[in-house]
Order: sequence, then C-alpha cells, then structure tokens
Amino acid sequence: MTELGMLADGALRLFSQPLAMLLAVLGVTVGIVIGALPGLSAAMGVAILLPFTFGMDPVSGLLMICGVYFGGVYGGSVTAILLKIPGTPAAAATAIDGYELTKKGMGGIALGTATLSSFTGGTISIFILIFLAPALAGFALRFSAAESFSLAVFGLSIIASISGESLIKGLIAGFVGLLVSCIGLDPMGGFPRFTGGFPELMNVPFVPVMIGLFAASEAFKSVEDGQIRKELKALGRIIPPWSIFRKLICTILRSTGLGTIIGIIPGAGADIAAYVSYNEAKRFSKTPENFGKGELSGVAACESGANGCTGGALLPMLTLGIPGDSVTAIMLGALVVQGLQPGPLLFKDHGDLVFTLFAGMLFCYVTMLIIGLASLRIIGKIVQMPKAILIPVILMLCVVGTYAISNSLFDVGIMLVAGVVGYFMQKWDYPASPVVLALIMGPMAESNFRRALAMSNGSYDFLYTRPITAVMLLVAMATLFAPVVMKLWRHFSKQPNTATLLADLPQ
Amino acid sequence: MKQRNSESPPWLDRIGQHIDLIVPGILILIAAAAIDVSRGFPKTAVSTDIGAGYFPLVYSGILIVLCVLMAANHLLTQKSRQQDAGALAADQEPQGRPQYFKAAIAIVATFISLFLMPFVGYTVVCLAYMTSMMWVFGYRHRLWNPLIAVIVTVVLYGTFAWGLQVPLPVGVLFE
Repeated sequence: MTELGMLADGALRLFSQPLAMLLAVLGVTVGIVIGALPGLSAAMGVAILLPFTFGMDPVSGLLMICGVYFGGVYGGSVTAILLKIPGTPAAAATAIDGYELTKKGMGGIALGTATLSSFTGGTISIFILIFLAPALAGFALRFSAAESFSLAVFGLSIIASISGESLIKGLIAGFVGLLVSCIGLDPMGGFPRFTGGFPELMNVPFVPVMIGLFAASEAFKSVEDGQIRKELKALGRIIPPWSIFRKLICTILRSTGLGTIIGIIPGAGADIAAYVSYNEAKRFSKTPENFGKGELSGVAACESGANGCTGGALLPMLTLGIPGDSVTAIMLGALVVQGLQPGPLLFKDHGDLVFTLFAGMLFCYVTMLIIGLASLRIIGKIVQMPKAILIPVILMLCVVGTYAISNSLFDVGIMLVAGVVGYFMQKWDYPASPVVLALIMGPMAESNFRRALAMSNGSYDFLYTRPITAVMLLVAMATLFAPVVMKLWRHFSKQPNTATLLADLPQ
Repeated sequence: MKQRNSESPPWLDRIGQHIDLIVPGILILIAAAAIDVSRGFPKTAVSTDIGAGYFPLVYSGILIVLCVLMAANHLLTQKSRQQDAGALAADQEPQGRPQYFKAAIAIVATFISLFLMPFVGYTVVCLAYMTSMMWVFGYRHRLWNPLIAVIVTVVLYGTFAWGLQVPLPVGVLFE
C-alpha cells in the first residue's frame, strides 16, 4: 500500500479515537502558552508532560507530546513580535523584524504571517517526513563532528547578515558572545573556564542572557519614553491579504526546506534553522536593506524554518533512533516507555500506529493554526494596556520566567546584568542578535571541532577532504565576506568615470 | 549616526561622542585578561586535543583586532562625523527629554527585588514591585494600582507554581 493510502487509513483510525484528538488539542494549547513564556521552551513542556503519558495509549500520549512540541516552537513568536520577548531561542530571530513591524503598527499582520508560516512550514515538513523518510534517513548518518562544526561556522557567519548598519560592531558583539560562551566547563576535558570559583557558572545558560538582551533591555529602554502612559496600537488586521502573502510563498517554501534539512541533522534545532532561514531569505531578497527594519519576509522565513525543523527532527528519531534535537531526545524516551523501539523496524512492525501518528501530527498543525489565529486578538487586547502597567509586568515575567529555568536566582541575576548590558548596547548601536547567535553556535563549533580533530588523529584535513564540510565552510566564508565586498564595490563604483570627469572640465 | 538629543546632559553627550573609543578600549582590556587566563588552561588527556585555552585565545585575539579597527575608524572619521553631526543638529528639531532617571529607577528596583526575593519571597516582592513601579511610571490610582499588582501576582503564581510546578521562592522569613 502506498504512503498516501496508509496515511488515509491512519486518519480514519485517528478520528475513531476522540481522546487522542482531544489530548492533541490540549498539547498544542499548552505548547503555545509555554512557548510564549520567556524562559520556558518546548523541551521543558515535553519533559513536564512526559510522566502524564505513561498511563495513556501510545497514540494519545505521543500526540500530546507532539502538540506541545509544535505549539511550543510557534508560541515563542507571539511575544517576540509583540513585546520583543522571545519565548524560545528560535523566536529571537523572529523578534529582529517582528518587533519592528509592531512598532510600525503592523503587529497584527506580522502575527498572522508568523502563524500561517509556522503552519505551512510545519505541515510541509510532516509530509516530507511521511513520504521521504527512508530516502532522507541516510543523510543524517553522513553528518559527523566535522559537518556539525562547519554548520556551526556557517551559522556564525550569519552575524554579518544580522549586524545591521555597522558590520564591525556586529562582529565585535558576536566575538564577545563567543568569549562568553567559553564560560563554564570545557566540553572535552571538563575543566572550568572563567568561572571565578562560582559553581553556578559551570554551565552558563544562554536563555537568561537572551531574555535579558532582548526583553529586559527593551523594557528599560521603553521606560525612557516620556509618553509611558500611552498604549500600544490595536493589532488591526491579522490575516495578511493574499496580495502580500503570495509574495512570501517562495520564502516560506525555501525556509521550510532549509528547516527540514537542518532538523534532520542531529544536534541542530529550530534556533539554528530560524537564523539560517532568515539569512537565506535576506540573501535572496530584492530589498535586503529592509531586513532588520520590519521586513515581513524575515518573519515568514524564521517561522517556517523553525517549524519546518520539527518534521526534520522527527525523521532521524523515528527511522534511526537518533534524536534530531533536544525535544526529540525526550520523545525517544516516551517511545521506549510505550514499548516502541525507534528505528527501521518501527515502520515494519508498527506501521499502522506510525501512520496514525503522522495523521495526528497533521491534525496538531491544523489545531495550531486555528488556536493560534483565534488567540491573537485576545493576546492583542492584553498588550494594549498602558506601558506604565505593561513594563513592570514584562520585567516581573522576565524574572519569574528566568527563575523557572533551573530555580536559580543566580540565573535571574545573569538575566538582569544582560538586560543592563543590552540597554547600553541599544543606546550605542551595538546589535544584540549576534551575541545570542554566538552563544548558540559557539559551544557547538568548539566541541565538534575538537571532536573532529580527535577523530582525525590531530590532522586538520577534515576541513577540506570531507565534501559537506568543505562546501559549508566555503559558503560560510562567502556569507561573512560578501557584505564587506559589496560595500567596497559600492564605494568604488561611486567614483566618477573618465567621461564624466572630461565633461566637467572647463572648456 | 544617532541624532543628538539636545536635552541630554553634556557629560553624557561627551561620553556618547567617544563611545566608539571607550567600548573597544574596555573590550581590549577584557580580551587581554582572557588571553592571560587562557594560557594557564591545561591540555586534556587526549594527545591530539588543542586544549581548553585554544578557542578563548582565538576569540580574544580576533576581538582585539576588531576593537583596534573600530577605534582606528573612529579616529579617522572624527572630522567628517563632527561635520555631519553639526548639519544634522541644525536640520532637526530637538527630541523630547528621555527619562534616564526612570530607566535608572527601573534597573535599580529590579535588582533590589532580586536581592530581597530570597528573604521575603516572590509574593511580597511582586506585589511591592508592581505597585511601586506603576506609581513611578505615572499610573497612579489608589485602588487600581494595588488591585492590578494582586492580579498580576496571582496570575504569574498560578501559571508557574501551580501550572508548571515551579517552586517560587517563599522567603527565609516566612519558612
């Protein structure tokens, strides 16, 4: 029987299990709320709900977890766009242009675009999972430490793209972030670096830094505004008009493809997918100068890339038993508890269940679309309260959300220090996004480089003998130096040519 | 270039004009300290490993180079920036006065609330913080201020402590 036929059978079996569908709806709702709250992530939501699934049947339990996963990845974009509080690391990329759109009074359109893009990206990635799983499963096996290192370097090269007006300030921010990412335990030897004797610094969590740099700093900056009693504008139209949305379709499809491929790579998650998709959207855009100032395709790229990652991350987990990201690592445990062994035999021995699960995942995304769009108006009303009330609420939410990560007031202190640093960075035109990107990619780059070096017995030839590694490093160099070359080219092309010079000579 | 705020204090303007020298200078010092510390990091047992200090050394070195370039660029373009700034100030109307004092209050108050939380707990801190901050930022209503503070405290407590099972600080004074 073809995959399509099996999917149809799976859908029929799903509709005969109303409890499973109800739990999927519950999972999506909980996931959206968790994703929207700063400090909480989809992985935490899945971990919290995991024990509840032990007593459920496999389909119900797994669908609830998938609902939390999909909703959690999307939920971060809501607060990122409205309040510049990225609920998840992936949403930090969405906040770059999303919040600028809100400042322009286009918050509703930005939210609607994010919701539709998330739905489209996630749904397409599930279809890719269903129909191309066997073909793409081998791709995950070709990724070793060297390829992961090159992916991290490529991710870091995106700093050039998100630096805004000043590339050098962006690079300085990025390398400060890389230096901060070295604080903690050395990934190979476990030696504490730059901890100053503080055990809390053995593992510096980057989420508090992200919340501080984005949300807290923006709250402190907003307080300077003399009109602090004024309210945010109403959301206005939420569903983008077709004339606007159809121009985003290419971006969404490209970002979905990128997100799915990145999701397949073990260890690479939605945050990397969001930034890479953003970078490529800017590269292919006819108006790249608008990115960072409120460009709708920036929002669409980030959201479709991040949600496209979900299907990709599930692919190696289901077919090979290798988790694509932290959430699928937890889901792997859920599968084992339910008596299902991920891997090639899963499709052979439990094909009916697997395709019921696939049908359920598509149902989760439809649910996410409906709940997401329906809740936007309510959320929009909440953020319309006067800034004199909203800002203390945001700051207290940042404090409590950061505390919730690991019940540590030290983390809250890190968040506040990052908030103050971010406040001054904003005043002096240093972009914050490169710092967050560096905190995500830095540890990945270092640990995989050293691992690859150990695997090649100290030889650096893995940098140029492995095709995927070599290509990605070349693309990374091109991405990093392209803005510099373009700037120089534009500068020299403004010089008057000989004909113009001759014409200007006095007769 | 950011437009100059004609209402900001002169000392802040002077710092702002030279910030592209001050920040790189501070970062160079930090990077130099990082290099000094990194040189003492040990190698691992893996003979082919580059050691714990390699990447911090590389990052610090590149950071120093970037900071030097930044400072050099600032010094070389100083004259043209001063001309641009003069033209910009002549063309633009003065902005409204930014409330730096309120931003400072927000920062200090948030740090104080963090300091007090282990002693008096989340509930007391949240109530006091919300009430006082709304008052400072200009929302002054004898009934609504404390009422909104209570609502926000309860909603956050309900979401995190009950919904997500996060044990919020009770405070040593109340344990």
